Amino acid sequence: MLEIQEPIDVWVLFSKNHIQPSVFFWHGRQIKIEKINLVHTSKNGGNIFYHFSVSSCGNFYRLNLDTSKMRWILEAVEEE
Amino acid sequence: MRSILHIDFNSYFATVEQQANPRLRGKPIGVTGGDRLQRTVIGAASIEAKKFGVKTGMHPYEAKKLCPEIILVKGDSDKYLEVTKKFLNIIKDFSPYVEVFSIDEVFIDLSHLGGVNQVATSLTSEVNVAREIKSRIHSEIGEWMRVSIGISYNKLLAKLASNLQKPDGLVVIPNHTEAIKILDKIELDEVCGIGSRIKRRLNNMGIFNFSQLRFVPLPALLASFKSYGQILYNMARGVDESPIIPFYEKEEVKSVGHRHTIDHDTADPTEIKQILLKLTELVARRLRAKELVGKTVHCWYRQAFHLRGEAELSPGSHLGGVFLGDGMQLTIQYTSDGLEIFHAAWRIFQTIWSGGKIRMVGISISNLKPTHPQNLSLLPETNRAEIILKAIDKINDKFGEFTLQRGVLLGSQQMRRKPNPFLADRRFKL
Repeated sequence: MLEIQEPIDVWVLFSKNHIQPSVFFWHGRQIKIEKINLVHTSKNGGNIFYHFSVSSCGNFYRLNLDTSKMRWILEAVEEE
Repeated sequence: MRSILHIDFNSYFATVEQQANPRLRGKPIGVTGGDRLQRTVIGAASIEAKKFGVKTGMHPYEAKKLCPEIILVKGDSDKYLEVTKKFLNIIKDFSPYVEVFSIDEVFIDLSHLGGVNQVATSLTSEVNVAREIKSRIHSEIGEWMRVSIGISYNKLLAKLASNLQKPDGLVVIPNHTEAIKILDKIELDEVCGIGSRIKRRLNNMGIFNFSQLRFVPLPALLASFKSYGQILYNMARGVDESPIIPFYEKEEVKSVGHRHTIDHDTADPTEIKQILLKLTELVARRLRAKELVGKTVHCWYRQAFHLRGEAELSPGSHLGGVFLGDGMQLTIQYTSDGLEIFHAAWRIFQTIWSGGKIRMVGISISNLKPTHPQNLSLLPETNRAEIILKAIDKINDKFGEFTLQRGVLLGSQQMRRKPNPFLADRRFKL
């Protein structure tokens, strides 16, 4: 697994009080999220970060939403 | 008769990692401590890694020897605590009496359902609840998450039942007769509360199983094990009256501590001083967050690795070696100020340190009491220090730990909590 910290653009759905990333753009590719495997949060002071562990085409990605800056970061990648 | 469920996640940290990353599923993985792969141990091994003999607490070097294809994954405490919270959210729908035994184990009292059924194989209401819990864990946390559930009439036997079938087990010990049958089939140390030392002492007395233990008169056990003799006497008979302590009835915090294994060996006093100050600041922050003050400071260290005897071992091998160290405690005035705790810890360290290289240092503070009520100081400098600490805490609460810190800590090593099953003072976060 490659740990990176790259800003990305993400399309999200808001559904039943939940936020669900559905598509993100990385290195010129449009990656459709097929499954959200686990969501967890972490804190740094008052800032809350949402970490989405997701799968697409057999690959693994972890996306991080910084709620204070409303910014998405791709923080981990494991591809075929 | 009470009915108690014991729920235990299988290979918890590793399973959570496999839930998050499906590419790890079905593969041997080992979760290591926190943010590094160096100077760490396997905090949890996946079910697949356990088949190769990989165990918790093993050095990654030993794990790789047993299972060369093992994948080492950095542990993430936040992730595991979050899954535990989701799990407790499910559990609280079944009973208000839930005891959190560790990060991945709970006891639930379901006595309100009518008690354990006398027929082990029938679909009792407790078994239905257990199945529903399993199903909700799959649907609400993740399809890879598996738990073993034990059902019985006390905590001792419920825990034993959940250990009998792993992974994904569901075992009922419905009554005393069944309990004795099972106890007579298992090893002494398969019961929670009998570790290797107690087992050895029992073996030295000629006791090798529970049926032999039942023959030992209570006075003989009390003479050998003091008050623990009564517990052993009860265990052999499947008796355990201990109540469920609901997790919202928070236990009193007895001590707050932190230790740090340095990523290299050092004998540099400035570096050690910096690490010790950072540790004391972390401990003091946690004390203040819980509105506690403490007066007994304990400081300890572990020396760099020494080989036992003259055996020459390959680099990196810990086999045949030994870690030496020392520790001491000192009582000071009640405080929650990191600098005051540091002064005491540094005094202790200078007393116990022989000047050689060290690899780990730790401090803890005990003899705690609530901050309020407190005697107000007439000394203006004490009040000033308190005001400064409150202001620093407020800033760090908002912007993150060590946003504002003492100048000497600039550039110091990051210290993160390693994943471990003991909730200790994290219990208050649940």
